[in-house]
Formats: sequence, structure tokens, C-alpha cells
Amino acid sequence: MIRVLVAKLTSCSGCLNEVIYALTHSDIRAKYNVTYFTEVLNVDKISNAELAFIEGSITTKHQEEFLKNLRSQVEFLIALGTCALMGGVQSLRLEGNIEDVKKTIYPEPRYIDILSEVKPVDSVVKVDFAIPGCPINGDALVSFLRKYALGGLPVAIYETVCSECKRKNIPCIIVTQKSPCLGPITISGCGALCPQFGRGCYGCYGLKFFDITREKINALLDRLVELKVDEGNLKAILLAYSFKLYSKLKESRC
Amino acid sequence: MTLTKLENPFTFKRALVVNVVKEAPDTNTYIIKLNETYTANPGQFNMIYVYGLGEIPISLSNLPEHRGTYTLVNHTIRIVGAVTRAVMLHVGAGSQVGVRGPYGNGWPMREIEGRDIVIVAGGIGMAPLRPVIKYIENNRERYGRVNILYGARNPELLLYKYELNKYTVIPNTKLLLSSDIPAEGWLHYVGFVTDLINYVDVDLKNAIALVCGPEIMMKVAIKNLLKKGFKNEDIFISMERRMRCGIGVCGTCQFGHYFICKDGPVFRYSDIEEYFWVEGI
Amino acid sequence: MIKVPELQQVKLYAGKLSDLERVMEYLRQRFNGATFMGYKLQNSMPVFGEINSLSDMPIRVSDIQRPGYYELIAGYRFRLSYASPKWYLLPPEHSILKVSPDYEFVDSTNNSLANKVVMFGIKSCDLNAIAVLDAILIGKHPIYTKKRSSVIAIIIEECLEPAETCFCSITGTGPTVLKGYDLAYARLDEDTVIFKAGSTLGEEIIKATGLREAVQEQVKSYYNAVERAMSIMSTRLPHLEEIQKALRRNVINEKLWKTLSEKCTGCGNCNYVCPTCFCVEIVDRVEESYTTRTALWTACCTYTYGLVAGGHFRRDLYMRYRHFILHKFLFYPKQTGGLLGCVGCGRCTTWCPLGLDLKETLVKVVEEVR
Ligand SMILES: Cc1cc2nc3c(=O)[nH]c(=O)nc-3n(C[C@H](O)[C@H](O)[C@H](O)COP(=O)(O)OP(=O)(O)OC[C@H]3O[C@@H](n4cnc5c(N)ncnc54)[C@H](O)[C@@H]3O)c2cc1C
Ligand code: SF4
Ligand code: SF4
Ligand code: SF4
Ligand code: SF4
Ligand code: SF4
Ligand code: FES
Repeated sequence: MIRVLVAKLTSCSGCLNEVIYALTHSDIRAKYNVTYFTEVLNVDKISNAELAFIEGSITTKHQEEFLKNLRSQVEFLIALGTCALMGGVQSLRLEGNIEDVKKTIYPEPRYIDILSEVKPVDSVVKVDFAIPGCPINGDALVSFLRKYALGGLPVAIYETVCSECKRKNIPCIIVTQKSPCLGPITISGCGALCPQFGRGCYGCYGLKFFDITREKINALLDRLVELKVDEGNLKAILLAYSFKLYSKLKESRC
Repeated sequence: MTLTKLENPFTFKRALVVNVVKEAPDTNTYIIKLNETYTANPGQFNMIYVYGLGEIPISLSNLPEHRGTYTLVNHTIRIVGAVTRAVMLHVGAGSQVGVRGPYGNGWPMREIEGRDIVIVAGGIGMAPLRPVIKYIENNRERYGRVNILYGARNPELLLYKYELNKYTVIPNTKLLLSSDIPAEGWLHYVGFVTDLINYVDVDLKNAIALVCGPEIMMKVAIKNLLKKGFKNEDIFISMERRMRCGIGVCGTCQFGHYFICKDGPVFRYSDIEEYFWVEGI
Repeated sequence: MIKVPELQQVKLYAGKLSDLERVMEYLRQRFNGATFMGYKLQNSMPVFGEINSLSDMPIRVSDIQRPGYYELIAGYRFRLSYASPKWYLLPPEHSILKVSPDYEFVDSTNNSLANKVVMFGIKSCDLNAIAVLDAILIGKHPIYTKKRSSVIAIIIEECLEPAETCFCSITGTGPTVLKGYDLAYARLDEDTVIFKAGSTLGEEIIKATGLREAVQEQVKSYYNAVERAMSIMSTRLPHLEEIQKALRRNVINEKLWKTLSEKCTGCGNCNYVCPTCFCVEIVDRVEESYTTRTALWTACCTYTYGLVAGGHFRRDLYMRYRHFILHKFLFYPKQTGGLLGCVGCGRCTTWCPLGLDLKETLVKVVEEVR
């Protein structure tokens, strides 16, 4: 049995639900032994294991320490979801002053001990494998677990939502409905869920980190603005789901 | 059209791994038993399938050995990614794998008869050239002088260390080894294997070169060979691209207008010169 | 380029839409149990799939196509859907092998495939695209070969008015057909349909449905329309030879390709909608007790293309965009024994979400030489 730890930082537990979904498969349960998973097991001590799944981004000093310790206990670490990989929705607060942010939510902000930044997992420890998504696609996790148990990994495919959209036989909604869609710059994996329902992709799997330059982002954003999308909304979306890359491309138009 | 009867070319032969030889920290040679009389030219490759994970193109790293009803083939595999990882971790003596092939053209063993031969191999690039050496050894009278230039990043990464010295016993054969970096006990050349081209001892008017290694090493090799006086049409290189099918249908191995899997992997340099220096073509 | 005089050797017949209906009816009886495939309306969007009657087909609409833009309006000049016969012949996802953990094959034959297919109403560009796919895949790709062999009749709808994005007269692949079809028809106006036979089956259909020979005036307006369609398209691009020459000269012009692909995001839509693109990735879909080796359309504009363990042979997007263009215009002819990889359908342009225009790219390459 492969020993597994499942942990979370700042996040919504949506990805962890998918971990639970994966564990409903009997062939997977037969091969993996989860020894730490605070949402499910009554164990609060981390022990040595082969694998660790981590959800969420780092927003406190404590989390950073926790993560480093976790990393030292395992051979192979998998980052789950947009928070862990790109920052996640909590990155929205990065636009404001941290003290103001605290004040708007908590009556006694001085008790809130958080970092002024939001750190993706790979900015603190080495990540061996990433499963993107918000939340991740449970079937991608199932596939990973089956392949890992066979000794291998899923063959990496780097494409965007458009690939899945076309393979699903969906007429492009930018082209046919003049509806905004972030598909061309968003990492694939969701199966083109939104375009399937006639709605634009809003980038929840995160910006693709390959092939992207400022010119290209701008070209798409220009196109979307042409389709009458509010620039402020676009900016918020990119911050929320792709903070890590967006901050690098900051000089882009929005 | 009788084509409806086309047999599925993606079906593979089931094969048993009978032995594993450790070559380097990240590389093993797998000796695989095929229950048939299987033949292949030096430089050809098989698609090796690992259950649930995928197929990878791997050169035959020795001449197929016929043993009555079955054949033993060698594949030297370096761990790099999704599928090779599983080969390293999970495939051992007694394991099964799927094998389809042989594919590709292989080295022009017929055409180069009577010529002096310079073999230039870098790292894992020795794998497809090893059968060439064995083939020449078995048919020594058909070929001229042979110079084997082989290098790796460090001595530990050289493959077939247990038999390299035996190559020098083949009549009229010279072996030049290199390591990119100095290492304890290393008495051979320190530097790039391509530097060794300077020291080849062949009749340049009648010599051909066979080159395999990382693309950048092959680029330097070609420059040096040309400088040395080799003609474009006398240099052969084994090319690499992402490969998913091995049979010319998936389109992913294209290099200019060539499909590496079926038009190659071995190319005469003069045939690909127009593409070779264009980055990313 | 197709010359009108060459066409004039073929006898033309005239009828109404109702005759087209009868043609379909006749074929249904002639090939009992056959599946009819063509462009069809699905949720008021044209796709490629099974058609049961003329009313499934986009016969009462016209498409407006521009770079990154597609719209249907009432009319009778339908050109193309984003989907082409490729959707049937080489589906976006297809299983190539099922394997058990003991490396045994689990029913590797796919019996669910239709065994008789009539392609009905496909355009000349798409017919030529099938010839290109044939040259690469037939006899080699098991699924394509099987599906292609199931096609027993091909009925072509010729275009008498190209869309804004079309340029088939430049690539020599339309709008009229010369060979490789059984029956072709063109819509002279809303209700008048001109027919011509391309095979003995075509002749048989014409005879069986009692179509009358077209009158002089109809013949004349048909050829006029063809000529007009071709001349409209011929102004859209330089000659093919000039394009190819310019491409050859600019293979190494890195700067040019970077500029041309500046706005390309590498999303791959152009490749997916292209009727001649055939690239696939092969992945294992592992289930509890078996795995399905599945081929998935891939695209040379995406980052996966050229990626290898520990490196990338086409790391920058401009290299992949360049391959897309070079493959279509320079490499396919060498791979197929002379067939161009581009059939001028314009889909890559219409369906590029960024609106990148292939024609513009080609014109710029030619201008670079001039
Ligand atoms: C003709 C030929 C002969 C080869 N011979 C050998 C050999 O003898 N020994 C050896 O160790 N390696 C050889 N290689 C390289 C070997 O195929 C790759 O290292 C291997 O495919 C990597 O697979 P992966 O799944 O571990 O890597 P990943 O990067 O996870 O690759 C995913 C998939 O991409 C494809 N791919 C990735 N890298 C390559 C590559 N370099 N070449 C072709 N396809 C690739 C494969 O289909 C692979 O399954 C050869 C390659 C070619 C083209
Ligand atoms: S709808 Fe969105 S995801 Fe689909 S092809 Fe168009 S841009 Fe891409
Ligand atoms: S469809 Fe347009 S943006 Fe997407 S890869 Fe093709 S040219 Fe680039
Ligand atoms: S390259 Fe564009 S115009 Fe040419 S066949 Fe493909 S989709 Fe049509
Ligand atoms: S290489 Fe690109 S252009 Fe050529 S067939 Fe493949 S996807 Fe299409
Ligand atoms: S490219 Fe030609 S045949 Fe195809 S739709 Fe346009 S005009 Fe018709
Ligand atoms: S590997 Fe598929 S075409 Fe060459």
C-alpha cells in the first residue's frame, strides 16, 4: 500500500472533495493508504509517507512551516488546484492594503496574523506534480492515482480549454455568439465545462504558463473588450485565478 | 477497397523481460524475449508499451539474438519522464511489456560497405550505434577502418562500460572515449566527444560518419566533420522528435516534411541540410 | 486552377429542391440501411453528422464568415460548418486499442461503426480534404481506414458564391468538382438546382430520378456563376506558386514568423477545424480492469507539439505557427505525392478566436519577398 498524506492550506476544500471522490474507487482504495487527512481522519500528526497532496495557497507564516515539514516527510508532492498553483481567489485581496482588507472583514483585525502576500505552494517547496483546476477534475486525480500505482505518471499534455472544446464538438462561442471566453489562454483539464453550456470560460483552471507573453494576453483581452467585456472584471478574474502569472505579466493592459 | 481488413497496426507482441543490466544511475538495458523469429537492422527501433502508461520509441541496442523459437532483443532505456519512470521502477526480470516494431530505416549498413567508418555517439546515443559495432564485428571483412568516438557528461554515464574495451580488440578498430568533466581515474579525453573528431584516423576520401546523440551535440559533430573534410552525403545522423505512433499517422514526429518515424530516424545529412539548422522546424 | 472550359464537358441537369429530396430518397433505397452524413443544423448551429432528411440540412440559411466571426442568416448560400467530414472519418477521440493488465487485447475491433455511409452535400474543398487525409492515413490508420472504406457514395454541393474567407480557386480545390464524386449539385437560386454526374452511380441517379437536361439559359448562368465565384476568390491571394516560393525563401526568417504569430495564443482551433489536419496524441485511459489507448486530436500550434522528455523541439510558438503554414503549403505536397495540405476552406480564419487571417499571413510572406 502506498502511504498518502492529504493536507490543506488556505482554500475552500473543493479539491479535497475530489480526493474523497477518487477514494470511492475500490481499486484505488486497494492501493493507497491515507494516513493523514484532517477533514476525514482523526489524526493530527504527520508521519512519513510516499505521497502528499496539498490544496491551497500559503497566507500565514505557520502554513509555510507546516508545508516545509510536510515536504520533508514525503517523496513525492502533488499540488492540487488553482490555489496551490496560482494563488487562488484569496489573491483578490492583493490589490488592496492588507490592513484595510482585514478591517473590512474582521471586527478585531489585530488578531489576524497573515502574510501580506499570497504564495503558491511551489514558491516555498518543490512540487513534483501539479493537477490544476478550481476545483480539480476528480477524474484527472483518479487517472493520476492509477498511473502512479503502475509506477508511471500521466503523459503531460500542454494545451488550453479550446482543445477540449473542439474535441467536444462545441462551436466556438467567441466566434458564433460574440461571447467573451478565456479558453485560448486557460489550461485544459475541465473538459470545456463552461463553453459546453454556452458560457465563456472564465479561466478557473489558471492561465497557461507556456506560450504566454504580454502581447498575446493583450491580443485576447483586446478582442474581449471589443466584445464589450468589462476590463475591471477581466482583471479581477486574472487576479483570482492566475495571480502568479498575472503578477508577472502585470504590465499587460489591465 | 480491401482495406477494411487492415489489421490494427497498434496491436503489439507480448514480451517477457528476462534480464536487466544496470548501465548508469538512470539507465538500464532490458533483455526482452520475443516468441518469434524477429529481425531488425541496426538503428531501427521498437515501440515499447507499458500497461496503462503508454508507448515509447526505443532503439534496439544490440543485434537480435535468435534462439530457436524465440529471439532476445536489447533495449537500453534512460529514465526521463512519465513512461520511462515506470520502466525503471516497475519493470524487472519477469515483467511483461508490449513490443511493436521494428520501425524506421536504420543505418545504411549495405551502402557503407567498403568504407571507413567513424561512429560519433553522445550519451544515450550509443544505444542505436551499438548494433552497428556488433554488425561490423560479425562482418568485419566488409568494412574498412572503424573509429568509435564515444562520450558522456561524466564517466559514470557511459553505457556498456563492461564491453567498451572489447571493441578495441576488433581488428582495425580504434576507440576514443571522452568525459565532459574531469573525474577521478579517468585517463581518457576530457572535453566534448565532438572534439575527438580531430583525432580520427581514417581515409577521409573513403570515410563515412554515423552520428547519434543530443541534437546540439549532433550539430557540433556535423560542423567538425565538415571541417575535417567529410562530405555532406557521407554523414548520417539519427534524429529524434516526439513520437506517438511510430507508423506515420500521428503527425507528431515531423521534421520539415519528413516523418522521423518512417522516413528516418536515420537521415543522410545532405537530405536534411535545409532543415537541420532551422531552429524548431 | 480549374478552368471553366474543362468543366464544360460535363452534361448538366436541372431540377428543384424537391428533386434533391428525391435523390436522397433514391439513395436511401439503393443503399438500404446506409447512414447519410453531411453538414446539418443542430440547435441552429451547423455541425457535421448524420442527416435524416433534407430538412436537417442547412438549406435555408446562408453563413456569413469573417476572421473570428460566423453568423447564420436566412438564405440559400450555406458554405461550411466548422466541422468537416474529418469529424466522422477521424473523430476527435477514438479508441485504437483496449488492453488488459496482462497485455491481452480486449475486443480491439470496433463493431459499432456504420458499415455504409453516404456523404451528402459536402463541399468541394472538403472532398479534396478527404483526398489529402487518404494520402496520409489510408491503409495505415485503422479507424480512418475503416471509416473511409464505409463511404459508398459522395454527393457534392458546389458553391456558386464563396464566403468571405474562402479561397479554394487559389488552391485548385473548388468551388466546382471535376472528379472523385458520384453526383454534384449547385443551387442556382433558391429553388433551382443544377445536377451533374461524376460516376456511373451519378448517371444512374439522374436517370432514376428523371432529371431533365438543363436548358441553355440555366447552363449559361451556372457557368457564369462559377466563373464569378472563381474570379472573386482569385483576387484574394497571389498565385499558389508565388506563395510557395515566398514561403520557401522565408523558412529561416525568424523575425517574420515572430511578427506573424504575435497575436496567436497557440490555442489550436485552426488545426482542429482544418479538414486536413490529422495530428493525434495517444493517451491511456485507465479503468479498473483495462486501459483504452485513445487517440486525441492534437494541434501543432499547441505547446505539446514537439515537446519531449527534458526538452522541446518547437519551444517558441512562432516555430509551431510556422510549421502549421509550412506543412499546409510546402510539406504536405511532399508527403502526399503532390496534394496541397490547404484546400482553401478558410475555416482556420473564421474559427480563430483571435481572428488571425491565414490569407493575411500568406500575403505578408509574399510581400516580404517583393
Ligand atoms: C527513434 C528513437 C529512438 C530512441 N531510442 C532510445 C533509446 O534507445 N533509449 C532511450 O533511453 N531513449 C530513446 N529514445 C528517447 C525515448 O523515446 C524518450 O526518452 C521517451 O519516449 C521518453 O518517454 P517518457 O514517457 O518517459 O517521457 P515524457 O516526457 O513523459 O514523454 C511523454 C511521451 O512523449 C513522447 N516522447 C517524449 N520524449 C521523447 C523523445 N525524446 N523521443 C521520442 N518521443 C518522446 C513519448 O511518446 C512519451 O511517451 C529514442 C527516441 C527516438 C525518437
Ligand atoms: S468557446 Fe472558448 S474554449 Fe471554446 S474554442 Fe472558443 S475560445 Fe476556445
Ligand atoms: S486559432 Fe488562432 S490563436 Fe489559436 S492557434 Fe490558431 S492562429 Fe493561433
Ligand atoms: S489551412 Fe485553413 S484554409 Fe487551409 S484547409 Fe486548413 S482550415 Fe482550410
Ligand atoms: S502538423 Fe499541424 S498543420 Fe500539420 S496536420 Fe498536424 S496539426 Fe495540422
Ligand atoms: S472553399 Fe470553395 S468549396 Fe469550400 S465552401 Fe468556400 S467556396 Fe465552397
Ligand atoms: S510517430 Fe506518429 S507520425 Fe511519426
